[in-house]
Amino acid sequence: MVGYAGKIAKINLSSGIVGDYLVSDQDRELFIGGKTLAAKVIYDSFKSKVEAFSEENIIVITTSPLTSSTSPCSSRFNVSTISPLTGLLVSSNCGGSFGLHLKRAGYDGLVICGKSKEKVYIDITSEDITIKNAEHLWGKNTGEAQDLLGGKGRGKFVIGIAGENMVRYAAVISEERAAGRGGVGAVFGFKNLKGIVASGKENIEISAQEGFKKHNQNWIKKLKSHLLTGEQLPKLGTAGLVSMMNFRNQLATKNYSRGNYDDFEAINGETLKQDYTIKNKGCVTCPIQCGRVVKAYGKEVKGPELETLGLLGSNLLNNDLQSILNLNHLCDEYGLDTISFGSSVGFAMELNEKGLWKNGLTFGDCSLLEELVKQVATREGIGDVLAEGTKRISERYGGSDFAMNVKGLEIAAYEPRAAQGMGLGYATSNRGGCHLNGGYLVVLEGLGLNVSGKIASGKAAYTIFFQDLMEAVSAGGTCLFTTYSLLPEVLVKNPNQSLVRFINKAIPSFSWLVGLLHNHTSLMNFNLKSILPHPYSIKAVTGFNATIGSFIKTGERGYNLERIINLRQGLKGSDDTLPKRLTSELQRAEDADSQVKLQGMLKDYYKIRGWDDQGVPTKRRLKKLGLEDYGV
Amino acid sequence: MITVKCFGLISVDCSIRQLLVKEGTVRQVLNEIRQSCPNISEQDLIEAIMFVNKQQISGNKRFSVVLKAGDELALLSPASGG
Repeated sequence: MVGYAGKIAKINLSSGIVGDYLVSDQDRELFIGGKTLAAKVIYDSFKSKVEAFSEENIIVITTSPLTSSTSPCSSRFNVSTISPLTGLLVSSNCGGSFGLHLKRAGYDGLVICGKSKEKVYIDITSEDITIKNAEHLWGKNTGEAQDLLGGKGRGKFVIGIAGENMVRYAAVISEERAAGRGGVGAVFGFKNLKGIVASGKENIEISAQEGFKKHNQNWIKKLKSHLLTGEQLPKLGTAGLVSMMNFRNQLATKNYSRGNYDDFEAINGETLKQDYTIKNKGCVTCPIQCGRVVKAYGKEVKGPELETLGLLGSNLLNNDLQSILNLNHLCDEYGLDTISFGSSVGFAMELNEKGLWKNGLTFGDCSLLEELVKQVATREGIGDVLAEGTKRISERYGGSDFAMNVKGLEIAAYEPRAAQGMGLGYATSNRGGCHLNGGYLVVLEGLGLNVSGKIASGKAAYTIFFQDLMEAVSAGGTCLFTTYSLLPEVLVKNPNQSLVRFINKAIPSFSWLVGLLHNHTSLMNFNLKSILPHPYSIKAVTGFNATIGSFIKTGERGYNLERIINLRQGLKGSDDTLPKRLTSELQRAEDADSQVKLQGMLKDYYKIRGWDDQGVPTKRRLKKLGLEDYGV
Repeated sequence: MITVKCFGLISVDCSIRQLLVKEGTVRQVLNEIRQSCPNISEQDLIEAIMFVNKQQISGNKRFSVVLKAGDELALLSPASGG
């Protein structure tokens, strides 16, 4: 099949048997790759609810048609499983080079099932897949484990000590990039799987090589010239968001009790750049280069993203940027998701402050945090409790109203009481409290465009559109930052022009049009390469007749399939909610609009999605998406 | 004096984090900033998102806002996406 390696390996860790997992050409065209194809595999593999820590649970690693092509920002790959934090489907996306090497080894993906009795890792080449003893790797952190797995030219994907100890938010690391969210690393650890190494020299056939090459050149040119991807992200990285979020009351502060931090200038992107950044860098094939190189413990290491600055900085009232750089590096080394770790610590600090759990942790006192990373990873002392995440901590000590998770997954650093659409996104995301899977509407609500974050009306349609767009972009295999080309530069660059201000005010009123297009994607059965380059890339690589309409529909198909899996896992419509702090407490006493008006938005959301009032996709909607044979 | 703080690309491209200027309207303050920092373009300042004492000011009337001693004017570049 053009654009694909053509094989998915099925590796049974219980029996040691390696075989093929068959995917039809029709399913490749329906689900493309990445997280949507992984959802299809997981749906087909289970008949009923599966526990995260059980032999029945599987790990599905998927690449996409654009992985290992010369498409910009296309080194992404996906890992999906049942999450030990949420009990639901989790898909975690990673920018390390493992996916590229896996595809060069001749595999579009891996389905890993069963549980090994011994500590093992998987070695993949074009010739063979071997399950090998990993006793010498066990107890090693991610940097050392990758070093021990071989030299350059091989893609590695490993857990650290946190994954070995089944910390519920353990990550899996490739180079310095993390598949961070949802605890995929804990499932690796449960299966006694330390990691995977892959390499090969297979070439993937491209359907329309010449057209693809020219298209990529134009796409790279556009990314380099756009204000967001050509200026802001290369110069400041995602850390550049801290200041604007703070002024807009969108920066999670003191366990989300506030949206701004008095000391934000000590931890913002400008300070990171001026005082700590050595150079910027990016993933393989990326012209944006949003990554930072900084120093921690005397070594040059990856710098923190916005979410890390928020969760380990303002959220803990930690104004020591060097300590955040150290903590970020330690979390990568031990293999911990910085968002869930920071949120769990912030929650513990508030429990301590309120006298609900005397644990010695205090906002603003970050002297214990570096030791705490180790304690969480090794499950020693209070680390054993923190390793369970905010939902389970609240079940033990109370405080569920301010345990900042959705469905068990800790929400990211964007405080949604000043970004209503982001609030709806968190509440409805299939992953739980994830900003990206939630649609990242905050980019319209003050971080790219200037639509008011206070307004709830009209946000449902946009949230759905962006959720499905992100889903499709992930399926295709490119970084989500490539979607910024959708935001017209004239609107981004000129926020004070009268016409632009009028458009920003009018955007919520056009939600009917967005809803109409979402429900009639055939109206978009064409390609506009300069606005949304992704469908044409998929068409050029695979030969599929991909258009903007079919691309968005693929995203919607994936989103609905993930929803069905989650319903089968026991999800209820009532789980589409937020911690009470966000829906019932005013962020600012003087502003009656400073809470998330979830119920009204949720009603609109279900209606536009074609779901019933319990949040279950209707048969009519599933049929429209080619999912008529799928159900709870 | 007024404290002017620059954020985002304005800060990076012009290598300015903070400066002190005389009291006056926002328009007068912006003119003074340009004189102090010639590498800031008029366009950068016109398109900056502005906050006075953490409250956003927008529209053409923002230029007429009077800044008093001790006020803080924050200038943020319009794009912050990440």
